[in-house]
Amino acid sequence: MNGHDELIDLLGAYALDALDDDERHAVDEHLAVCADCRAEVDQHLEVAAALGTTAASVAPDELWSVIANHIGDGPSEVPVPTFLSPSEPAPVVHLADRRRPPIGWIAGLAAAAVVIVVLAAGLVQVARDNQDLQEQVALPPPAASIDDLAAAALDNPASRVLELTSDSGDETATAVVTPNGDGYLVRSTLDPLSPDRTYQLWNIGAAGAVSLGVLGNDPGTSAFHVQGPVTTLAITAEQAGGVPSPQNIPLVTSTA
Amino acid sequence: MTDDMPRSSTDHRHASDVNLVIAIGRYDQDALAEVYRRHSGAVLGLALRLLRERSLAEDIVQTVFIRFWDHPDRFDAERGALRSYLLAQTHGRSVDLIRAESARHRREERVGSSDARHRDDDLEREVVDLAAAEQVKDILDTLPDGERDAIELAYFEGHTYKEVAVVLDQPEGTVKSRIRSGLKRMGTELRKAGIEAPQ
Repeated sequence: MNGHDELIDLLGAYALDALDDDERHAVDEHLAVCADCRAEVDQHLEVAAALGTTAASVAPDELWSVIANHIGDGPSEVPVPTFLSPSEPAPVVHLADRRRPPIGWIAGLAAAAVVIVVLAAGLVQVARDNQDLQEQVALPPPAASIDDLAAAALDNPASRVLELTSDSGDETATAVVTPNGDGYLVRSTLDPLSPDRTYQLWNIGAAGAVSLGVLGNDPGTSAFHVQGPVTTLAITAEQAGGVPSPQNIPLVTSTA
Repeated sequence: MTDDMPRSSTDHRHASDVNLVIAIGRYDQDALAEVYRRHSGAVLGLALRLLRERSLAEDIVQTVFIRFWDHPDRFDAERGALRSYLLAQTHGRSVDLIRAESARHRREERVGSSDARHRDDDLEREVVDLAAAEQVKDILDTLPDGERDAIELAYFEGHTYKEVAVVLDQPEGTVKSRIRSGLKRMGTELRKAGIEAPQ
């Protein structure tokens, strides 16, 4: 049983875990090569999940305690960052500082049309040292007023204007990028941070998260430059000086 | 972060599920706490419905969340909502337990008391989104009997479609077709009702 026509009638039962092992394996193999069937299974799984929610209960706090204790026991399998060469030892990672290294699943997320999924794609892909980062921190203001340049970019009909918003929609920012890659953060509603923190701007693409610059703890109009296509812009709050790859959940992200 | 109850920051409370997954990928325990706060009720409820034994169901909850902590990469946001993923994990693991012979034996011994246990569970059960859950139930009830019965026996009782065929005394081909057509019909109605994907 390997053909599409033979397997398609099993997709509903597959989504309900109602196949025996042989059939499940056959469907698994087919799904790996059939996007149509994957899409159908995904829809069935959503229906199954809706069915599942009809049984919703309340999980006791004590149960969380067990889970929290378990995951707090320490990194049982902290993976070696892929950006280390094989000869380099894995770093000692303290629990509070545990950071998952670049891993392939993020690339999978990058394929999603949903912007935040694209954003996810970049969060752990890029490894740069802080020296490089500092060199790309906000371009020095040119002789002309940065506000004038930003205004000119906004007036350029070929420029791309990106609106960045938070999940709640409460916080927003606006950036404009000219065809040659010159960009300006022209507005934001982000609250000022403490002096030891900074906002940082990222361009998120399939290849990862590329820092476009450190914006300071109370960003005004800021200039940056983008090499290559602008996919999704995101702003995170990071430690002062910036970080080579995002360490915190993006506060605002651009929509498609 | 400890321990008696899940605590998460204001940022986490406002973060989307996908952003929480990203944070979990960075070993942010508060992010997992927020995911637990949002979805543990659904996970436990489904496990209870399937296993009818609280200790087993709580074991499933632990397993699902700890494995999610270890392998957030297995969640593919492109393919569905986080709750759907967690419930699929819950269902699969619960069904595995049900199908284990010893578990099945114990479960069959409990059948006589399952109704009473359900009532007890109902007393403490608090549906996270009661309105949506009721809509789902209503939509399920609109299915032709053959489709509804097949889906309920497969999903909530953990039977394979071949077992369902025996229970319903129907041909296997009929049952697998009815499961598929019923799910499609439900999907259409859920989308019309705006509850396509549980959040």
